[in-house]
Amino acid sequence: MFVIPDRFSYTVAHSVEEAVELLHTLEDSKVLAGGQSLIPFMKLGYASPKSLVDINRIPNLDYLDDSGESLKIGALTRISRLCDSELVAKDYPLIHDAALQIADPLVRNLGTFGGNVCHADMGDDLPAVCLAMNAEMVASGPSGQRVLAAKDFFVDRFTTLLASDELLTEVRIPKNRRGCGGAYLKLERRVGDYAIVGVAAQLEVDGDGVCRSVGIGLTSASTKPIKASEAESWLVGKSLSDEVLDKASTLAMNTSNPLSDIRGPAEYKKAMVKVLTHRALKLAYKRARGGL
Amino acid sequence: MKFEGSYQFPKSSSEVYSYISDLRRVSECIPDLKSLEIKSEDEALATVRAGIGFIRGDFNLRFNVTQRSPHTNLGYAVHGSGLGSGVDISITVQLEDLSTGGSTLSWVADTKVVGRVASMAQGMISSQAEKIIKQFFECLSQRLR
Amino acid sequence: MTEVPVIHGMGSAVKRKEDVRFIQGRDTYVDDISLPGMVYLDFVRSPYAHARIRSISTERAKGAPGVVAVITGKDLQPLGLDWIPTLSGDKMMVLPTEKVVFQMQEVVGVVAESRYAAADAVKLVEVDYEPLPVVTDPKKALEEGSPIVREDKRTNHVFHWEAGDREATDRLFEQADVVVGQDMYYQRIHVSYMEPCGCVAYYDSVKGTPTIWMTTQAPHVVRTVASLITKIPENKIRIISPDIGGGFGGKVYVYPGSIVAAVASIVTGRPVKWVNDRSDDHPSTAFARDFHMRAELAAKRDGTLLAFRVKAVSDHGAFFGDANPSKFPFGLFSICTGSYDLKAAFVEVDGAYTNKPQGGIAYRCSFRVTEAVYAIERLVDIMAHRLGIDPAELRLKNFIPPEKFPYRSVMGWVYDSGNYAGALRKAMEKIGYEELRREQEEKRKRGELMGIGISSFTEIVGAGPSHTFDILGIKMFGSAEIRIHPTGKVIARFGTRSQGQGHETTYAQIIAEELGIPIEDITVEEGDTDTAPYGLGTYASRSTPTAGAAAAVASRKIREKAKKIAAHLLEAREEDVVWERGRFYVKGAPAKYKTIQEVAFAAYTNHPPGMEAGLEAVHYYDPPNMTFPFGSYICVVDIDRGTGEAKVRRFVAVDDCGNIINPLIVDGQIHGGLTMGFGTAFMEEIGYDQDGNIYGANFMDYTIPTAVETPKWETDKTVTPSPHHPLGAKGVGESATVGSPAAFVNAVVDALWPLGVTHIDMPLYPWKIRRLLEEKGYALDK
Repeated sequence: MFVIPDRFSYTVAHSVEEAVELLHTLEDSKVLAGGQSLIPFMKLGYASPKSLVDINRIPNLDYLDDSGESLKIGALTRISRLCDSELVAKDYPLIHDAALQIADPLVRNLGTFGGNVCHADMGDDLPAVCLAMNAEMVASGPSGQRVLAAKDFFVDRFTTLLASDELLTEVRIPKNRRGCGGAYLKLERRVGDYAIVGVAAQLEVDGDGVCRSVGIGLTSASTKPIKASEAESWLVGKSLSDEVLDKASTLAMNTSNPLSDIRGPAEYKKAMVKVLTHRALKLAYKRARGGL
Repeated sequence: MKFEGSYQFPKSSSEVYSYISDLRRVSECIPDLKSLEIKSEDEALATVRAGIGFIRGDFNLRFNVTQRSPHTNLGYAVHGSGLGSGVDISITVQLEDLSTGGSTLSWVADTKVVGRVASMAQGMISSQAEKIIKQFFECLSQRLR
Repeated sequence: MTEVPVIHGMGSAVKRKEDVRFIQGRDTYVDDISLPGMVYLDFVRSPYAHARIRSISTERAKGAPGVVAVITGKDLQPLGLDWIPTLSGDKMMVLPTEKVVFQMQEVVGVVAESRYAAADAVKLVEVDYEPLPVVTDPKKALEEGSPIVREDKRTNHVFHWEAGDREATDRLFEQADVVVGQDMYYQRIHVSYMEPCGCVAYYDSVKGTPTIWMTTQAPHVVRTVASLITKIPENKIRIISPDIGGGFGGKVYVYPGSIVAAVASIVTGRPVKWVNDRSDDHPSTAFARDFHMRAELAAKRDGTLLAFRVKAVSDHGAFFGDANPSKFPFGLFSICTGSYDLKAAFVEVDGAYTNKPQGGIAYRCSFRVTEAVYAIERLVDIMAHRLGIDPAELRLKNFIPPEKFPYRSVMGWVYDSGNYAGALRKAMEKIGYEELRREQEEKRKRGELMGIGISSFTEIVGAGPSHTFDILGIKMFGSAEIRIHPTGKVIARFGTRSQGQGHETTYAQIIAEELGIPIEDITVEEGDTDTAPYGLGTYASRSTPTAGAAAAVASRKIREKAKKIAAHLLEAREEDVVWERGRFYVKGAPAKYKTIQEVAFAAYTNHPPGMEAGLEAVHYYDPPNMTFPFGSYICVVDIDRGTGEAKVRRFVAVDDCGNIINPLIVDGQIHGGLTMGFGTAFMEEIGYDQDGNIYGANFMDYTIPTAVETPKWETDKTVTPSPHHPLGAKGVGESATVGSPAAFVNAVVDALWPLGVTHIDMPLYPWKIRRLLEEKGYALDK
């Protein structure tokens, strides 16, 4: 009863333009990238889109490029590529931490950066990473390309700013400089599960260890991926003493509004936002001080 | 799950009653309505496309007026299914004239969602159900102003 | 001298014969079976846990492309198959005619040319439900005015069961210096076998023979019951249990799918396949545990344990379907005095119906022994802490001493053999118990939380002796049929059914040991009722104690005859012929011998005048007693005061299952059982909300451990043979699942005891531990 989805049409797009065109014309369409969330949702009957637009054969959407101002990640870049990339491991520990903790190796082999971000479940890990790193999302639609800030991108659970005929093509991450460090901590019931709570922290500190900038993204801390903005603004300009981290993690906790579910009661999740924010900031700081 | 709310109107309770006891007019406020068939003055069949994000499906719902006490009380029952789940909402509405003129409408909705969707995400269902019911009353109140 | 062949008899750690085909994917599970013209059955399932069915409209589904039949409860009614009897004397709904009683219950069967057509048509069946009040808590179910699940019963009370001596127990409690008590809930869990349930049913209308390939642990019982219900002669019914991907008790049951598939095959004249997918199977098939208990233990101040009592409510869901022996409505829970020399004990259990699928699976457990072991091992630990006596010391003081075996417990069981202190001491030594206690002391001073938990369990397996054990009147013997071919090769058939236990190897090893024939030359078959000797199947660690014993005795019968043939061949008197593994020789002249293979050939070519030709034997083994495997487990945990996570640092398991047939298989059983116990203790639970919605209905929600979380198991053994089993073996399939949960919980509670924590119900979710840390002012925010 549950392994078989409702009927749907399936079309392969060979270019971004064609994908956008298909999304625009087909009824009730949905992008198929890695399919690691979409397909289970369809077979379980949670989602029944009438048309799927397969973007896997669009060339040149699978890349990691840090030659310019930012690290550019193609929307079709598989999670496993992030896990295996020396560049990511060395320069973007936050992304690397998170990628290694997404689901299991089989899912990571197919799941894509863009898909994880666009699925926009509260329990997906990369949205928090994008929020913490102040990423920019590049989308193509019928009226051309637009660039959206991560902080505006996540509208609600399973809902982003993208229109139904828009395709995310690239995520741009500000380049890590000396003094930058990040970490992703994920509390899970079991390896491969969605986070009970996850915290993404990205820091830049000066030579004296004073925080220049910081980003904190939270997974499973609300009905959608959220940014701990108050904690962020409070940290800027401060030395990261234990007391400062305490205050910041309390502010992050206050930002959160998690749901009670099988992964734990809301009050526990709130407390875990605090504990993990403290630990993530500490680890990020250590990495930032370790230099890049 | 129980949700509740109340509104005040410049109109009298009998005016409000005559509006909200008319299934045809009330049906216009059902959110995400795809189709509607009025079977009798006490029964309507509706198809609603409800959900969150792309987790969305058609719900076939039967609306019944279960209680009519002119000027004071009204009861609705909603029963149906969608996304492999069963939905049962019983709504009681209480009307009261205010001494200052106008009236108050208070509603209580007892909602049960059972089945696949409910099992998937407890918290999500209750917040979504609350949202939909509130939308319904918000819409009614707009029309009654 | 000819070279003695390697036969891989008793004690050989030979790799499993069956693994060659499993690893290569050349096995045959039910879903691998495909017959010409086969059609597919799928089900409409109820979203409601309790609802009256106002109407069912199947017209749209019947008209859908590819649909060949739609079957409702009303269609089964005239056949008398809308309800079928359970193994516990109750009955079970196949498809509802009046109301549904649990969420995900099968409501309508849809049969179509393909799986896809069936799944599509399922969505076209319209069922109008009228919701009814739901009860999912068995304690509430037993209260006055609770919604009645079973209108035919007019009450939610299933049974009241008592064992032991109430008065003597109460007296000892009154006299005791110290009494400890604890309310505990052993949560509802699913066995989570790799292969979900299913069948292929084919009714040959010419021969009048139904054949069903099905995922069952007990094919013969299914055949007999099917014959009794349908009046189809038993010789015409054939039940085949092909390769089975795990059972753990969950495949003792017959589910509606098999009944509806069989009926559908009669209706359509075509083979019908039904296979649950995971999201169908997990929430609708039977469950284990779900047991609320109050346990109390009485002791003298010096730590002498006196008496134990338990008052409990067990949740059986909508049907009482436990596969218990007839005389034991609550299984063998009366083993709850465990490894201790108590003076009295008393238990009483009330069973309740609720709006859940039937419960009572003896999940990798010999009929409720898991719950019993958990109760006593938790309470002994609580007592030790209360008295300020080390939990190991308290156990050592109260163990049944080796010289008291065979030991008659106050509950009436006669324990065959045991050396409990030996196993615990070995485990303590292996883990470095004293050193760990010192470390714990130091850590406590630093505010670090570390716990050490012990569980010294005693199992009762091998059901069972015919004077006490039957299922539906059929005695619980074990059966073996062994036939030696002229070339000395063997086919051996059994009334049990391996689901991954490795019977094809262990039975072959037993025969190899007894007859000196290499295991490669022995084919073991099970699971086909047309060929296998009658038997009650495999569950409750009974295969080695019963069918394994039957294999040994049947082999010995063959050896007796072989000896006569050998004497004939050696031209010696029978009493002068000596058996040495694999051959017979003349006393005093070992060079003059005949191999078993030569003897086998002679049995068909040159047997003594007056003797029947052939070399074969059948044995139905009636065990004189149960066997009582035991062991001691020690677990060390460290607790994160921030997140509340308890990490298992070490786990030592010393098991004693008597003489070991294959150490590799025993080790595998223990590793698997420990992992299941770990899952139970830390992450597995099927929950319900007040509306009867199930939580944990698939593997996204219901977590079972992976290799990443699973601790490194350090296993060891002691060997205390069973005095009454022909091989001295005891059975081991369930020891680890039964024994380990208490060790995990004891370890976590041991860590938290100084804070005033006496108990935490499983699963030991981090949030539960964190909540306690917060309550005690011991939680950290970083």
